[in-house]
Amino acid sequence: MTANSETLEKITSTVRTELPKYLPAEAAIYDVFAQNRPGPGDEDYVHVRVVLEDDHPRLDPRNMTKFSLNMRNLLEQSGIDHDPIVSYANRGELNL
Amino acid sequence: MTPSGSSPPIPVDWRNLIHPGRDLLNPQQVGNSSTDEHIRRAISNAYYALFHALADSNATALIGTPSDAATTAAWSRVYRSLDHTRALRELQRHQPEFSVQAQGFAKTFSHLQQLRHSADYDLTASFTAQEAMAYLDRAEAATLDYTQTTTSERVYMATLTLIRPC
Repeated sequence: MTANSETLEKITSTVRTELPKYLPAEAAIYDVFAQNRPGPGDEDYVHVRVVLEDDHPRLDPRNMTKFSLNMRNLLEQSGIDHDPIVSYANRGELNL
Repeated sequence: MTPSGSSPPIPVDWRNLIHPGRDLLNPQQVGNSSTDEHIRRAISNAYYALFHALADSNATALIGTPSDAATTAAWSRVYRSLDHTRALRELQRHQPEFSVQAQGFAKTFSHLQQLRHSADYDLTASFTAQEAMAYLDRAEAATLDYTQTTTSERVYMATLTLIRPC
């Protein structure tokens, strides 16, 4: 299901607000981008790229999964029927 | 019926997909920095680690450890019956019913299947080595956690992902 620009903006905003609770204290968010991507069976999904400042500790994979589970619940409570897929890149990898 | 001439099944060890995936992201292993192809292959490995872990779990949960030709054939048949589309749909649909560990596995499976599709087929999608490394870490942790779930839950997951009710 394709998300409109308003929904993408709400998803981005929710990620910015909630994600720091799951990141190591030394990790800082540089930026967050959300976009639609084509998935299996011609079904779009929402991909969120979180760009972190370089030199952060390794992310705890279980915390990242907890965050994804919680995001789905939070978005549902806001009336957003999407299950965004979040990825974590470093600022230095993207020349930002 | 007792099938004859069957070799003992050797499931794909999901760890043997995670570790080479990490090697693809290691500059010391690939000679320089990882290419886009290395990164895409690492993401694909992360998904297939989960897929084969689930196929192995399903077969063992439903058949047990093969002890003769018939159970070997049955085990192999169950292993090969896991379908990507059905598994994604049923794990998403039933996720709230699962234990925390199985919810994490189901969530990671569904996300990585969609990412694997992008990594293999969407040439407009970009990925970084750090993104791929984080996906490999999540696949590993989710699978380790899933192996700690109860046998009855793994039997339930097997029936959900393999059997279509009439």
